[in-house]
Amino acid sequence: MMAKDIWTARNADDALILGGEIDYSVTPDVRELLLKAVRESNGTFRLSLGDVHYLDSSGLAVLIETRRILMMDGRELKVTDASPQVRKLFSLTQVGILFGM
Amino acid sequence: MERKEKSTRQESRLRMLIQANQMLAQMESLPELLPRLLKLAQDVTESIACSILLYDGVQDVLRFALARNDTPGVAQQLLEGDFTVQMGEGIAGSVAQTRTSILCGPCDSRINRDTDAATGFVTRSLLCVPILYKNELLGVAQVLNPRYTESFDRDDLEILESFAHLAGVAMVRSKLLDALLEQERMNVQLQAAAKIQQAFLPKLPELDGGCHIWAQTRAAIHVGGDMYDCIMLPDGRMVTYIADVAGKGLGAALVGTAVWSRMRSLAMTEKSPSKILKLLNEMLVNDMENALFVTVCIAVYDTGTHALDLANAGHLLPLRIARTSGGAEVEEIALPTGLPLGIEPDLAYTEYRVELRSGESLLLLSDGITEARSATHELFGEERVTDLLRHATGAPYGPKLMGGVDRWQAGVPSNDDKTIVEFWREA
Repeated sequence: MMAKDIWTARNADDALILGGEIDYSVTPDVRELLLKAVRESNGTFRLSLGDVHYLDSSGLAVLIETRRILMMDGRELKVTDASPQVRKLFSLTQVGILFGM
Repeated sequence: MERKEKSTRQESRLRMLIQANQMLAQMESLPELLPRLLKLAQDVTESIACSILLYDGVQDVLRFALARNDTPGVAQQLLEGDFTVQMGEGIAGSVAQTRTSILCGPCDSRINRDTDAATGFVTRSLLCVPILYKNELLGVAQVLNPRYTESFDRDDLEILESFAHLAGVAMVRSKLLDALLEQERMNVQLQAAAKIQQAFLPKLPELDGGCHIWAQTRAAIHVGGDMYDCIMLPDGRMVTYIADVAGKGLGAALVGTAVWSRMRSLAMTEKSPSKILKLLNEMLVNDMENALFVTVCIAVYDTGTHALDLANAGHLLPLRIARTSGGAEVEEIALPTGLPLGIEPDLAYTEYRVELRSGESLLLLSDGITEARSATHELFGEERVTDLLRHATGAPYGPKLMGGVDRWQAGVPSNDDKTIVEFWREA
């Protein structure tokens, strides 16, 4: 039986690395973490989604909101890596271009 | 004789404590509970005045909740005050911080004589105890001046501590009941909202020339962010779309309602689906300052020529299904896709024309179909969608696909809204 992957977050030298499954049940927590990380950083905000096995539309909405907040401050959101599922979602919805992919 | 009197008094107060417990068990809401707690605290300690302060965990302070004083006028003065006490401040603050009770006799310097001067009440003796539940601080209870003695004693303190324990259980119980009632109220409102949302769904038209339309949507939680509509134009064309607002529940449903009404008005004035998407995008970018976005796939079908003009804003690509002798051929219509609506201003969308031939179906799906989770948490996936449609025996394919997804999700709550719109031409 496949179990749901718990979402994770860890800091690397050059990016915040998210992992696991990000769906509507956890997006409020992911949003809080991302906005806090944005407040505590400067310049381009780098995010790695290479370990994210599932991202739904509410997770995508959080990424778009994060980008909007960064842009209001003259900054940008750069997704440095994405798993195949995330790439597929970015491609389907055409939003990859918003995150520098 | 004195010992016997004391023992009788203690028995009487214990009986009162038991009665208090029975009474508190019947209280269902916090506003009803607090005045009762105050009265009971006074009764079990035979005191003249009592007050309760509740702990505000967000501000980390005690907030005055209620006071009762049998000296005329004094309680009213206290009740009018809306004040907070810092942790560690005064007797109540110290009790809250250390979670340890305090007993003060007549000459105790910890009694604040300024308050006495302000209220006209003279404090002879005071008991203050924490109200705890499983080590979590809920507040403090304080009683002033025993009725029949000069000062409170250790027995009084023990009685008040026992009472505070009962009060803690009653307060938690009341909060849980309040939360349950609130949830129930919310459920009733959501059910009403679900009925309203259902009422927005269009009555599907009877089409001429062997054409048919079928559609179904199911929200994951009462109301959802998926929707479809079908608008017949005076010139015989039909505007159909499927839309998915990011997120679920009431917020998504409200945005959906705005999309629905604007789409209805745009469809009557704009002939081109790409122009409709462009105008709707401008409206949503201007109006939605939050992070919600909407994916839409729109099809304008000419029932006379069977030409289909399609435009897509970040939605799943439509499927074309052609019936064959052994089942059906399924292909994704590779129309150019633009960004979902509500993210970026000044976007242009590209239009794509196809012809719906005899025996063909066009299926618009939401991602709740492809991403439906089974009991083992496995996604239904695009391959299963294609396989199921290939082996289906003729149009309409939508009900068969919805049935297949239902079986896949049997026994587990739906993780996303699911919508299918299909129109087809008879062979």
